[in-house]
Amino acid sequence: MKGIVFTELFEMIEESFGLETLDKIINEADLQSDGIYTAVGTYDASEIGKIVSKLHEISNIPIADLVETFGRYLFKSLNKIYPQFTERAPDLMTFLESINSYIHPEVYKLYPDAELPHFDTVEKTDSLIILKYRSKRKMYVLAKGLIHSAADFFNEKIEVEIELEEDDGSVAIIKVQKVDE
Amino acid sequence: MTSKKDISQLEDKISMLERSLRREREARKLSERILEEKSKKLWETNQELLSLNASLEDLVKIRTERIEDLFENMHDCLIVLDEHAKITEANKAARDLLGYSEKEIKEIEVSDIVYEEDIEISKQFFEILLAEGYYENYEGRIVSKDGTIKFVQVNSNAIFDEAGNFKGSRDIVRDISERKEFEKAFLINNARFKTLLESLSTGILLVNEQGTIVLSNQQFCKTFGISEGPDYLIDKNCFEEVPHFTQLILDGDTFEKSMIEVIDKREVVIGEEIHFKNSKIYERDFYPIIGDDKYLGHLWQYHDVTESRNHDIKRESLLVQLEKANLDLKEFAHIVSHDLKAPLRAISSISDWLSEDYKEKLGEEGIQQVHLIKQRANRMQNLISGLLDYTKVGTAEIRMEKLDMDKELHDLIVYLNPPAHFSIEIQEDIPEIYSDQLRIQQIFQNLISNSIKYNDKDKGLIKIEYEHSEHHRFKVIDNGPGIDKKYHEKIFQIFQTLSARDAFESTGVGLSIVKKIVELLEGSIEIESEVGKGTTFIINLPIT
Repeated sequence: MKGIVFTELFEMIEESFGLETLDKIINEADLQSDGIYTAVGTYDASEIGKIVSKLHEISNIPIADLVETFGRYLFKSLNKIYPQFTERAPDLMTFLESINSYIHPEVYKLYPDAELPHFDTVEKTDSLIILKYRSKRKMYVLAKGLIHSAADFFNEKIEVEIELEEDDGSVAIIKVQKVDE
Repeated sequence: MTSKKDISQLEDKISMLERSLRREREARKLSERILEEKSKKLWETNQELLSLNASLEDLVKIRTERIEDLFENMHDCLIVLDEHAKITEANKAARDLLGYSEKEIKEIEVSDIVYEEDIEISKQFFEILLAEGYYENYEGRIVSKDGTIKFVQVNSNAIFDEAGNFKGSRDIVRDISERKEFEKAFLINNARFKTLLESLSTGILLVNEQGTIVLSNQQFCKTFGISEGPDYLIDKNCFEEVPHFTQLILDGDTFEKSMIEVIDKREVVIGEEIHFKNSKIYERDFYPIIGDDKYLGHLWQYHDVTESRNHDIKRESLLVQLEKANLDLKEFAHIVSHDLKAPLRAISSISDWLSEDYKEKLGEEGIQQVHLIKQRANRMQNLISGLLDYTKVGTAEIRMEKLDMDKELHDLIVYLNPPAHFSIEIQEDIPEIYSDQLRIQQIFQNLISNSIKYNDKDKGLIKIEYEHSEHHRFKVIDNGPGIDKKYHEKIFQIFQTLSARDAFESTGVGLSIVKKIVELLEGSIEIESEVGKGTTFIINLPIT
C-alpha cells in the first residue's frame, strides 16, 4: 500500500478526532511500522485495516462509513497534489474511465512497485459507467468514497451501486449512474 | 499554582507530542533514504543510458557505413528515384549496367533509359507503384549510354513522406538479357524439336519414372488411333491409357504383359514385333532413360514395318521360286548337253564316213562341204560343253583358304604347258591371299590359255603382276593382237568371240566364266587394250 494512503489517513484522523486519538491508535494498533509512514514509501496494506478497526473501536462509527469518508478525504488530497488528472477530464465518466487507462499507468512511472487496483470499464455512456473493480486489498468501499468525492469535484450528482462478484470483495461491479438534480 | 493533575496531564501531552515529533522525524529520515536511493538509481540509469546511447551511435555509424557499402557493391542494381522519376542515387552495378559515371547518372531520368516501345507498359507499372506502394517483376528493355538494349527485371518500392506524399522509389534492377536470349533460343529449339518429332515416321512415347507421359508425337497417335493428337497424352498416366492401346492389338494380353516385363527390367529391347488387329505390323523398341545413375523414365518407339514385312514375304517366295528355276535350268542344261552331244557325235562320225566312203562321188568340193559339216558339229559340241561349264560355276560351295599365289601360278603354268615360243613371267614376291583355290585356278587358267590361244606374235609373252592396294590387284598382260575398245564389254558376255571361229576352236564362253567367278568371289575384272598393242586384264579381289 502506498505511503500516501497512510499519511492522508493519519491527517484525517488528526483533523477529525485529534492528535490524542491518533496517538492512542498508533500506540495500541500493534503496527509493524510503529506508525512511521512517508508518502514515498510502501507499506503492508493490512496496517490500514488495523488502524481503521482501532478507530472504529474508539469512535463507534461503522467501519464502512469510516472507509468511505476516508475515500472522500483521500480524493481531495490527491487532487490537490496531482490536479493534472482531473484537469484533463471534461466530466466524471471520462475521468473514471481514465483511472485504468491513464492515471494508474502514470503512477507506475513514479512507483514501479505500486500494487494498484484495476478498474476495467464494462460499459460507458454519457450518464453511466460500469467498472469492474479487482484488487487483493478488497477496498471497493474506499473506491466508492473516492468516486463520490470526484463527482462533487465535477459537480455531478450520482448514485453508486456495488455488487460483489467474489464474496471476499476482491472483484466487484461498481455502477455509477448520473442522476438529475 | 498548578495542580499535580494538571502537571501530569501536561506531561502526557508533552510525551504524546514527543512521540508525534519522533514519528515525523523518523518518517522524514525514511523518506530521505528512499529519495536518496531513488536518485542513486536514477543516476545509475542515466549513466547506463549515456553509455548505451554512445554505443548505439557507434552501432548506427557502423551499420550506416555497412549499408552504404552494401548498396554500392551489391551485385543487383539499385536505383533511387525522386518523385519526378529522376535518378538520385545508383550503385556501381546500376552505373555499370547503364554505362554512366557517378556524376552523369544523377542527370538521368527514367524516361531517358526506357526503350521506346516499352514506355507505355512502364507507365502502367508506375501507376501500380502509386496505387499499391510497390510493384514486382516488371520486365522491359532499357537503353544504356552506348545505345545497347538490355532486358531488365525491376522490383520497386515507393517512398512516401510522413504526410503520405509520394517522394520517389527504390528500384532493384536485374539484367536478364542472358535469360531472355536463353528463353528465345529455348523457344526456337523447342519449335525445331517439335518439328523434328512430328516429321519422324517413328511413333514416340516418352514416359517419366512415375509413369506420366512426358512426350509423344503425331505418328504415335496415328498408330494408336488417338485423334486428339499428342498434346492430349501429355501428363496422362501411361498405365491408364494402356487399355486404349491394347484393344488395337491382335494379342492384347501378351502385349500388356510383355510391356510390364520390359519396363520392370529396364533394359534396352529392340525390334519386338507387334501385330495390330488392322493387320499392320510394328516393331517396338524400348529404351530406359538413365541419368545420374538414376532411372528417369523410358522411351517407346514404334516403327511401321508392315510394308517391309510384306516385301520380305514376297522376297522369300521369290527366292524359293528362283531356286527352283535354277535347279530346273541346271537339270535342263545337263540333259540338253548330254542329249544334244550324242546326235552331234553321230553327225561328226557320219561326216567322216561320208568323206571316206564316198570320196569319189563327192569330189573335191563335196568333201570340203562335208568337212565343214564336221567342223560345225564340233563347234556345237564345244558350245554345249562351255554352256555346261558356265552353269556349273556357281554350283560348288566356296571354300576360302590361305593360298600361296607364287606357287599356285607356277603350278598352273606347268599344267598348261605353253608352246615353246611362249614365255610367261611372274612377278616375284606375290603375297599369300585368302580365297578359293579351285576358282583362282579357273580364273588364271582361262586368262592365260586365252592369251596363248589368240597370240599372233612369233614370240608370245605373258606377264603376271601384282599390286597391293585396297584390293589384291592382279594383272595378266600379253603382247597379243589387242581388242578394239568397242568390244571391251561384249567379250565378257556369254558366246561372244571376236576371232574367226574355227581357227582357234573357241567357244566364247571362257571370259564370261572368268567374270562370273570373279564376281562370285566379290571381286571385279577390267580390261585395258587397244588393237595391236596387247591386252591387260586386271582382276581385283577383296582383301579379307
